[in-house]
Amino acid sequence: MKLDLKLLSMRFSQAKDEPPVPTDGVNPYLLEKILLPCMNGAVIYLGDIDYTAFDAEDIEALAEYHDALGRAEYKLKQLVETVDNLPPEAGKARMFC
Amino acid sequence: MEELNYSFFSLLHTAKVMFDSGLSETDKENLGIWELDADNSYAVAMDAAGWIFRDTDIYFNEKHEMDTWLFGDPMIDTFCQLCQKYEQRKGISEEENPYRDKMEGCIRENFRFSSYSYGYDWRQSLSKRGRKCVVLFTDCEFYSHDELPKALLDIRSLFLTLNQRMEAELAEETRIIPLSTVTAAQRKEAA
Repeated sequence: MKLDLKLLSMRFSQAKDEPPVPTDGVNPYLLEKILLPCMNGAVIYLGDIDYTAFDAEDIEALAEYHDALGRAEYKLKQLVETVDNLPPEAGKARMFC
Repeated sequence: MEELNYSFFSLLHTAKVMFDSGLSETDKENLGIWELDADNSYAVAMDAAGWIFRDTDIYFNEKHEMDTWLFGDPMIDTFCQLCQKYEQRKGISEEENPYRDKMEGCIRENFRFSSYSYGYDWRQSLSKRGRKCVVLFTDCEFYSHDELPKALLDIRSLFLTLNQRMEAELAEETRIIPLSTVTAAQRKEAA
């Protein structure tokens, strides 16, 4: 298996600067004040949560978003692993930058 | 990035349900000290049960590895007393009492948990000795503790509603003067 580094770098540069998973339908308060901080190791007490900022039904959408993030992370890890396992190959001709 | 599990979201859901249920300020403060952490899901459910039904007790049977939850509350005692009064007034049995029927249906409906390792019962008959309560048995494979507060809140809500309805119905009936007590003179005067 060969990897076209030029193509890969082009794809990376073309990629838009946006969240890996669309946040449509996810309550912004739950996303920004609860989920992302907790995923980054923050400690949140139940008494510190603003319960008026979301509905009980929003929690299901938040859990689904979290699962989608997990799937995106898994795909990314697979790509990293693939690239990591590729043996380096010497070029046929000497190249200068 | 840390991966969060199902219990994290269910604890958040429990907290939301509890805070929206009209908890007292003291109970809110007690709930508020818990960290939003999946590991606290079971402990919060146990605490919440005690806030919903004031006289809740939990016993662990080591031999069978089973929890027995006794949900007692003055409102359950009131329900039983009103039921007895209602049955005497109507001349019906406990089985024929529509209020008991509704309450039992509500318990059955709300004690439908995702896991299967549980059983339940209720003691609401004044003819039976012991505390009047709703009983739940859960064994070590029961994992639906997060569903418990919502179920108990719904049961509690119906106890309150039925108590009000029964009180109103009984009060209404006491206002009606039986015809036999109206004297002939009063009938003549009314005519």
